Amino acid sequence: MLCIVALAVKLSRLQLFQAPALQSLAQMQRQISFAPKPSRRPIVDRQGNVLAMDRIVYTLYVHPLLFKQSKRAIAQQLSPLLDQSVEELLTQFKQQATGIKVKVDIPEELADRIVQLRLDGVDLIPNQQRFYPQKDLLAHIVGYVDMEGEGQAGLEYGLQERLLFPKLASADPSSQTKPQTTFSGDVDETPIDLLVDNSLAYDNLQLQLTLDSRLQRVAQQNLRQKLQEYGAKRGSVIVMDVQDGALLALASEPTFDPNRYYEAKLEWFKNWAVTDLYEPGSTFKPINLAIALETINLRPDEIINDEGKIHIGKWPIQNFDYAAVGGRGAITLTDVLKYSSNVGMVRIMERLQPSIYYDWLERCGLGKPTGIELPAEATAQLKSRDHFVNTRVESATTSFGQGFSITPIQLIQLQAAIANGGKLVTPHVTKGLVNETGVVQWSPERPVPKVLFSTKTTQQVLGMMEQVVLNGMGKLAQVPGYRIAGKTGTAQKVNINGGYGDNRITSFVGVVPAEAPRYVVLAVIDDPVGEDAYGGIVTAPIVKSVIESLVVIEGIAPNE
Amino acid sequence: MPVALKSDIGHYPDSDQTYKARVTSLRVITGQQAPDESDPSESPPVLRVVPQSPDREQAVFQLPDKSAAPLWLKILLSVYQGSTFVTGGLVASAMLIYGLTVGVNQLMVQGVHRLEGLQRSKQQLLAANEALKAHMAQQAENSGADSYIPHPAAAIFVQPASERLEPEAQPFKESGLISPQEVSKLLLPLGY
Repeated sequence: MLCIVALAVKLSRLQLFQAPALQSLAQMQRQISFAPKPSRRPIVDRQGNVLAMDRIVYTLYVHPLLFKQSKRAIAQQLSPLLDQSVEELLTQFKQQATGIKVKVDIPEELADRIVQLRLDGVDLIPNQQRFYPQKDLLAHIVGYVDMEGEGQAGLEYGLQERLLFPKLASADPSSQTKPQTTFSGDVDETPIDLLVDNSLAYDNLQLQLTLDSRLQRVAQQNLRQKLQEYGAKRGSVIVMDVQDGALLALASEPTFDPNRYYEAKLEWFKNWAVTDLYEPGSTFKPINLAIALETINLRPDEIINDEGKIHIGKWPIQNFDYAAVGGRGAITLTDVLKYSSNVGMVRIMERLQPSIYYDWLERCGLGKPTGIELPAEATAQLKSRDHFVNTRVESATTSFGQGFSITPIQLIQLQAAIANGGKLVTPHVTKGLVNETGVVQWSPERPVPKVLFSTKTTQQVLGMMEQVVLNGMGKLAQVPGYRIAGKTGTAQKVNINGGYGDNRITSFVGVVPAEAPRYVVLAVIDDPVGEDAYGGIVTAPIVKSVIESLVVIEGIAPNE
Repeated sequence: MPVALKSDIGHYPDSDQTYKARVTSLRVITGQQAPDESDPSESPPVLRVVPQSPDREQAVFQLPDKSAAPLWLKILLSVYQGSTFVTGGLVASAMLIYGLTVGVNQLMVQGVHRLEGLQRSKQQLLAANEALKAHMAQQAENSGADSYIPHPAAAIFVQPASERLEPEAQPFKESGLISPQEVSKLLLPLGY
């Protein structure tokens, strides 16, 4: 009887008085801490070099209240690891008694060394961070992820749905915002329930791009060099495979380091080669020539009268070298391109009815996006059809690439159509989601390339463009041993008053190899300063350097 | 003093009267059937069976046969033994299943932690490797040396050989080739 009473007393104590403490103790024992798991798939370039990946970093908190040693002793031990002076750390330790954030983004190896110090009152909290090993090299394409894990630019934003690991259907959608790091199960749950009931379906897929880091580095380096040399505002270099529209390089300046995106200026985030419009100038002349060859009866040796300077209504139009050379008189179509004659182009395109010309511009895709995966793509701006058809000067200025605006990416798309026999391919930077063996599991759907020009037309235009590099204004783009076709471009920029000022935008487009085109390279430099700031001088050398690296990387042997 | 032995009375199937009648056929005498019963301590008691009379030998006393237990008893015994084994087995199974439940859980948790550790190490190594590559490329760029930039003048372009058709297999004798056995002889070490 006595025993029963004693047991009852013990049971009452356990159930009534000690239950909460014991319950929490049991819960602590059952608590499992999981390291935060990746939420996004990695991004790699065409060689498999990692461009973006998730990694664990730590945030260091200190709680001086829990220190078992003096603050100075703790600071002295942490100082060499954190690369902060003892005094700095001591100042931080005085802020409050607990929960002082000392350092963020501590890599794992450093965190391990801090843990090995076995200091009481020092806490390391793990969290996943998107890491961009290539820093600013491909920032405009890859983009960045903010502190909330949301993609804010580039493919991180544009293909966010593909980059995020898919959620399991059984998972509760309300709990998916952040990966779970700890679990304290209910009484009926076991740890194995947690392991099986995971929120994301992890796989080994990674987003592979068509870009080549080596070529991108070459393009970026050359671009920076020229921007510095000419004090230019911004620039872009694009390399495209003419057969399928895959981009091998897309360098834009200014750029930013996505690991430290918060230090960048807002305007640096946009990839202006895709988001901004510019007047292409003479680099659009080959497209106009192709349109003319397709629609009116013209031969490459057709004679055109180049007066050097003409007036369309009240608007004067002249060649860029009119002051030095004057009118060239009777020249061939090839010469028009070789000397980049504005007047010659006006004379050719005025043979075309403005309405047909406008139809062709629309057929070329002006006014529509190219379909590249990168976000915020701008569409070319053409004048309204009525205005274009009824205003003679509009078709005249359009004939030498002014009076309308286009993105650099759309210009290279049209140049690729000249190079590949007339097909309008979709420019793209992603190959797709590939598994560990390189097999593509998903790739973006792209429209079947539309045929714009006939092969005969494109071959004629390419032949004229080759003359530009051989004997014309694009000589600086020559690469010994290779046949290069190209075209320079120097367009006047519209000033704040709506008229054309002294500022220029220079460009050069090159096709390699001219006899069997495989790649087209476009370089654009915005607002170079200097007397010699022309496309043939500023941008042609960039294209030459990029082509030199491109032919080696792609194994294109010289033919001479 | 005559004492009747009442052994196995519980198993005796007959009635009490029959039993008594049969018992009377035996007389068990303790010690000598001496008249002097006043002093039993003088001689030790001896058990003797004395037949009462020859005519009563026909009533043969038959000891109960234990092997011939009734069927219901046998069934009950079997059920008892069987249920003991089943209970034991169930207890053992329950213990085993419980142990497995806990054990598998622990193993899974350990396995997951190990996997996570390996994944973190892989992630760490990958990040370090990529950062190192990018750093080396950056250093080469900063050094101003153009040696890292691919250039056609520093490259050798090798034309791929034209694809050759596999020659049809011919018997060794006809083709004049040596057999694999002969080849292996030729490839024997020659002392070096």
